Amino acid sequence: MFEVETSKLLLMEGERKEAEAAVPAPEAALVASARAGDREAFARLYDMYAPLVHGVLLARVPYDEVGDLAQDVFLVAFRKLGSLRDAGRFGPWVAMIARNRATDFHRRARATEELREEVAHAGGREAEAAEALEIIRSLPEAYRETLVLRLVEGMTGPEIAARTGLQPASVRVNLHRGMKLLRERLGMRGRGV
Amino acid sequence: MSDYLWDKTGEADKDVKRLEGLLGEFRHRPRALELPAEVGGHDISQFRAPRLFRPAWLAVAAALLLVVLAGALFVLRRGAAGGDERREQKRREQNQAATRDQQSAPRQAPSSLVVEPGNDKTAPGVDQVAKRNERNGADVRDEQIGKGGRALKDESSARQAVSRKPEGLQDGGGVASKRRGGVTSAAFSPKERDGDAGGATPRAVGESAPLEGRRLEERRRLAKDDLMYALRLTGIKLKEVQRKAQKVDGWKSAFDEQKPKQVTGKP
Repeated sequence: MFEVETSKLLLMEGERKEAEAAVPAPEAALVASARAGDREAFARLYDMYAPLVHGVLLARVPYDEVGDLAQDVFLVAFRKLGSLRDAGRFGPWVAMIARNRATDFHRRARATEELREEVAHAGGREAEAAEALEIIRSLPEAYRETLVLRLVEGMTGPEIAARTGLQPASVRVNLHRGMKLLRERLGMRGRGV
Repeated sequence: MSDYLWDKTGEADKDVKRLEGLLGEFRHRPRALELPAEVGGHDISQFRAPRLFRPAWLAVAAALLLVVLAGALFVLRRGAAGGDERREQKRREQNQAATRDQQSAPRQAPSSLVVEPGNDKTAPGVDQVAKRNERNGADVRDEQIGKGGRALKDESSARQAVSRKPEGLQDGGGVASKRRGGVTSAAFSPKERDGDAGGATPRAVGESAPLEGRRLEERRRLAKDDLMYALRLTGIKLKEVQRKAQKVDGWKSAFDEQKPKQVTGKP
């Protein structure tokens, strides 16, 4: 029993190292340059973290709104970059801004019904994709963000862990359980996904 | 769990592959970041929250405010205690002056207050005066005690028990109490303290007037009791002040423990 626990811990440690290896090294330097007013550096940060912000927002708000909201998130990040204390944690920080922005969006606007109407009018593959996305959004928060980042944005588990600041083991569990729930719900609806 | 879901290695999961293809439509499409011109070129650190409104500073300011308030409260309480002492001092001075006046008065007409054994007509009136004086004295003591609490009340009742005079001496006690106005002070002249009443030695007094000698002894005892009482009262007050000072120290240490810690790494 003890050996099994130890091997699990070693596996998790290996995953953590793997995740750390996936972290882009110049992130802190880019943050420092952007703080000094270097727009190029911030543009590179945007390129690196735009899929993450997009995925975080897509797990919470309608697809049509995601693009504009992502721009807002990066604008806020650029303005408040001075308040980021650990320059190496830009990813978790900007993801948190995105989550807060999505919450603000739901407080102010009631646009989710419109998306459902769009889904109803769309046909074929598009409708199927929209419905799958809707089902993912109905999953618990911990699963839906991880699944969107994996299935929509195409990130691997270690990349998700590195960008969001989550433990690789947690990401792995979330992916596994989320996928299981997704399969069940898609099967219940009679879809042949 | 398939490795494909985790890191896209190994045999591809059919469902996962299909969902990837299906949901890929919603994937992020690179789009140029539009930053407003006025934001660029400035030091971004200027967008930090004003230093005055950061939580750590607010916590420190609140702690300082509380310490100042506690200090002010302590000083005010201490001033009030000092005021009590001053009032007591003033009363003592008044009593001393009254005692000096009274010292000559008994020589002129003390006999009217002296109860002769077996004199039933005057005894009840004198008793009443003595009891009233005792009550007044107890009231004044209770007032002086103030917040002394139960312990002081007990002490006051004990003091009353001590100050009760034996039969036949109530007139003397009444006079003494009246002279002192029921206030805790040893308001006797040096002559009386030495037992020298009216130029006669105690033995002479005892021989010539045993009643007078007993009265003097009783007065001496009362004076001693009064002195002890005053000392106890002062001790209790000192303890109260000490306790309050310790309480203030406790608050200070509590504030020191609650100093905010800096949290890093979170947005």
